[in-house]
Amino acid sequence: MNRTSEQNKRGAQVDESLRRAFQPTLDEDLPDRFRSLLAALRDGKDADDEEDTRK
Amino acid sequence: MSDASGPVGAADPREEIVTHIPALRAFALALTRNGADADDMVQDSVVKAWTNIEKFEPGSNMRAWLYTILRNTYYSQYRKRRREVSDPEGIFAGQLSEKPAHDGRLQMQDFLEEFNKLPDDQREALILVGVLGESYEDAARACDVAVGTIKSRTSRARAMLAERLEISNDKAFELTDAATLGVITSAAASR
Repeated sequence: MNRTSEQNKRGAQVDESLRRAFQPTLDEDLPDRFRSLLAALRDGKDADDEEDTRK
Repeated sequence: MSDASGPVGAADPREEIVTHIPALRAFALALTRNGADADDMVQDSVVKAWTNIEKFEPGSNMRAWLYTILRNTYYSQYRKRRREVSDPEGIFAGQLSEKPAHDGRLQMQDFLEEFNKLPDDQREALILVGVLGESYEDAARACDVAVGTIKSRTSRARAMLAERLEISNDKAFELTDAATLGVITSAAASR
């Protein structure tokens, strides 16, 4: 196996390991704090904050 | 364009924000390496996005826009006050240490500790491309850098982790069972 192929293979293994580590976070039900936040935002109780939304 | 102060309808673009929260949480966790800070940061970012939806360009990639907001929030607020980690106990180690020894878990713990030691720019590139499946182009847009820069950072991060952990066999680290995954997840979320 040439060097590039070996590097790609190891890179894929790194990615797979990270995906396994983060998958539970991605699969987790939305925590209550976010449900409450969204309910408040939908009710118009949001605070104005224009920072950090630059495209 | 929708009025951010008006009622939320079915076609309101703000509702799309909700669908991206899981990815934002993962991205935030990779940046902060702390579950509590990560969710605080996601909450701040969701509020910013929701209240500034008029700045979102319809038809563009909302997730990339949200990543940008989250990232700006991290660098402008959270990074300054974060603990200087590598966290020798390991970000995922607190609850893990109370559990019986487990080869797979310990391997993953080592892996995550090495991941946490990577520079911010490499962690964010690797999480976006390697875990969240973003294209190099979208990741570059989110991080406000050239595509080549993202490719380089991703490549260096992969090589660094592979080298430090001597990944040379044919498979990724073993997370042997659901219980192990559950422990890691709960530990991450509790911090």
